[in-house]
Amino acid sequence: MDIAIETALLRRARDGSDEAFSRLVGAHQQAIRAFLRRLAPNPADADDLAQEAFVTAWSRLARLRDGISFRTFVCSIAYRKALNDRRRFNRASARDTAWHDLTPQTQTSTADARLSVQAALQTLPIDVRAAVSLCVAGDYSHSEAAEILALPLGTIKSHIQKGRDKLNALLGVSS
Amino acid sequence: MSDDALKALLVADEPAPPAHDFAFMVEVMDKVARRKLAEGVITLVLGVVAVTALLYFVMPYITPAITRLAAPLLPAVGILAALAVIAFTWEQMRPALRQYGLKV
Repeated sequence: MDIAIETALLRRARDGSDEAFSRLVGAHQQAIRAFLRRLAPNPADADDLAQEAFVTAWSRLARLRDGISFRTFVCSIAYRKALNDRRRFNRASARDTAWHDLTPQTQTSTADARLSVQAALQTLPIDVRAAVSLCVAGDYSHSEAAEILALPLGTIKSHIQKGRDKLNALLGVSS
Repeated sequence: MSDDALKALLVADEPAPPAHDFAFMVEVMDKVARRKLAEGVITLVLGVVAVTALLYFVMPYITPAITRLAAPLLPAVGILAALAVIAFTWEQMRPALRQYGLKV
């Protein structure tokens, strides 16, 4: 979306225009949902989180600073929601499947196993996965990713390098 | 080569959601409308509670003055109330009158 159009829509949305806000949602829903689908357990959960992120963005439009795009703003909200969702999910899983720890787990050899892309992504810590999703799978700049994930630029670069190395190894992509 | 191959793998594995998804937009705007309604109700309830609390403390002091002034002010209050009703009705009717071509 053109920056001038987005700025005008944001101004109108801040003034209470639902029509302007819905156009912003329409323009950015694909990017936000694609990002969340790599963080959430399944696409339906990702879409729910995306909807919640847009609603939160609507209520916090006044806090959107100049120089930050709407997409970056919503992505940062979406990332925090995904983190909270994951913590809830982990707590619930820990309660429900405590018995699972008693079962011996086989460690797959990363050298031989060709995991599916989704399974390979799931092996990355969520912040590394988010950085890879934004900057490798998506078209976000490193500084945008730093803003979204609230991490220093150097950490983002290191996360992307680590993520790339691990995914290349797991998926058998030659370096 | 590896970066492009990795990007291609990531993109191919998780097909992007549709660029235009009207249903998604409608669901988001529905949730926004619900949030707006909830915020409006909370604001109204808090306002009513605040005004009620204020009146609870203030009324014992102003009731004697109101009682004293009630009789002389009754005609003026009646006229003001009638004017308010007329003004409110006029404002409500204006859109309908415009639809019939009346320039109001």
